[in-house]
Amino acid sequence: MATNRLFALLLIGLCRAAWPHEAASPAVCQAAAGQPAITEAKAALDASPADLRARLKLADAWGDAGCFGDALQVLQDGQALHPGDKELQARLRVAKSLVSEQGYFDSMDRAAKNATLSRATFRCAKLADVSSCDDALNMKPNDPELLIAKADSLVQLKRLGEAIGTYRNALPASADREAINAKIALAESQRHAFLDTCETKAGDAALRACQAAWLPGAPDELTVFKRRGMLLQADNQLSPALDAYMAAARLDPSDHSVALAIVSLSDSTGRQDALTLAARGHALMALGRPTEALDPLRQALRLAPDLVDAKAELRLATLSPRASRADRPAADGNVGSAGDKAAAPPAIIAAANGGAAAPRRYSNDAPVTRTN
Amino acid sequence: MKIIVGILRVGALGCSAGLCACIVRPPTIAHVHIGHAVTAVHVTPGHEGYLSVAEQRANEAYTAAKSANGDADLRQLKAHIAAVVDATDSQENFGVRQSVTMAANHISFAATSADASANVIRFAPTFATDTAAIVERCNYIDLLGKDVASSASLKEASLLTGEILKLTRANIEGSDASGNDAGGSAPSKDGVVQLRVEVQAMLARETPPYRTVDQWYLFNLVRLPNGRWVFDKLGRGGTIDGYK
Repeated sequence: MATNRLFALLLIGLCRAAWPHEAASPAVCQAAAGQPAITEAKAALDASPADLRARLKLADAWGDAGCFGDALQVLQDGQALHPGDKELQARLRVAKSLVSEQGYFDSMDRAAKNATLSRATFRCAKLADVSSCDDALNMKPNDPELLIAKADSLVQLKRLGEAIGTYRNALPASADREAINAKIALAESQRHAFLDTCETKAGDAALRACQAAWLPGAPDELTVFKRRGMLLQADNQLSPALDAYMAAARLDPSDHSVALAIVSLSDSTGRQDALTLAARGHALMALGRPTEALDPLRQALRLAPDLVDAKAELRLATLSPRASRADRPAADGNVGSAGDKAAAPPAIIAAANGGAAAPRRYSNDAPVTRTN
Repeated sequence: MKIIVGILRVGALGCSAGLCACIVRPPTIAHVHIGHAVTAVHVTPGHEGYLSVAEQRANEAYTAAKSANGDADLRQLKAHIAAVVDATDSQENFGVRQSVTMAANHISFAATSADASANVIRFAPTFATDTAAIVERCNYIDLLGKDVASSASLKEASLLTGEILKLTRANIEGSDASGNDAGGSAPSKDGVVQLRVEVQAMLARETPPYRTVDQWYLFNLVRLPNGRWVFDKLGRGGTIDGYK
């Protein structure tokens, strides 16, 4: 009797040491079912279900794969066939312990994650910390309460346009749409006051007002970016001004005043990144100077070959009669002509764009605050 | 008569030297592990059981949080919150998190002992799960404590302190069903008080009955290299952290 007990205890120690203590996920265990060690052991047990050795071997194979739940199941299935078997009892005890350990460590992991989420939620809701709101939303995407808390934080920070957008994102999943619509209405009225300041005033106050009024997708979004570009340029902040104009150009690629500003500012800032070069190419095309657009568009594509718009624009520029002549070795000397007004005919534009009309674009992918 | 008195004297002396342990029937290994959780263990301050240490440290954290909550001076507030964090989450000083975790570990040791009752085996995983809420709060207090330490604003630090105060109270008394407030109308089993009640209820169900384990057994349980738990009658020492 005493020997049996000692053996069982020894077995527990050995088994615990032998099995890896890293538990595998259910998906991993499902995949592990195809491992040769497991399939062979299973086949052996199926052939002789009363063979305790075969059963223990299959349990070991599951245990080796970190699938303690499956190992426990195999052992439990053997209890009726081997009642009172000391070795089986000891192995069952170990398997149960490992399964419960697995659950315990899972709960500890959850405790750590939940604490991080609680902290981010608290900072978002109580301290208007927008980056914490984003952290929390990464963990609980589209959670309406978090979205509302983020929008409230944005209102506190006077980023009303962004707040309205975020309130709108919360609407579909929210239980209290009326309350959110009231918040949107209030934020809209405040935003209009800021929009007025943005459009009519100058200096820092106007710049801040433009930032506050910026609402992605709003009809006045282009105006806000253009105005922001002008104000920054007037303040001699040339690179941020160029960013603002580039964002405006994404909304309306044909706007001449924006195109002129981009050409001028890309010259004066000397920026040579792919996005700026592509924007310069677009701007030159908008100004009807396809010959000059060739070089920046090619440079942009060398730096970032995946710029789809730049590819289309380059095709368009190349098809342009003037650019074609200029691109030939025996050029007629029109290369870089500022007076290059021969924009591509509509048929060529359609060919370059694949016949599709360009949809209205919004600047969501390029916040005004982003720099290159 | 003299002979009887002499025997009693020798017995008393023997008992005081720990020899009673050799005479009286020893407790089960499972009950000794449980004793480490609820009665005494030689590694903690004052040799208190892990659950008792958790209760003490939880009360210390709550007291420090209450002091911080009234602070109008940022530096003083930070000092009080540092004390809260130390009482809540400190490896060296047996914070609430560490003590509760050790209590759960030792109850799990009890459940895996060969002499564990079905009652103990059933209870261990439930208890471990119930400690998760306290561990989660401790983690959260730790994160907020770091925010307080790095804050330059009394207003911000005070807001954080209010939240820490709620959490430290909930670590003692549990929280209500919504998990927002300590001592609510329907407290869940997630404060140290509730954990103690759970353990006591489990012990009351033990057959044969659980008796408070003698300190000699509590301080002399060792684990042999083969995984077997034994009482260290010869003072050989053990192989696992927390034991001789």
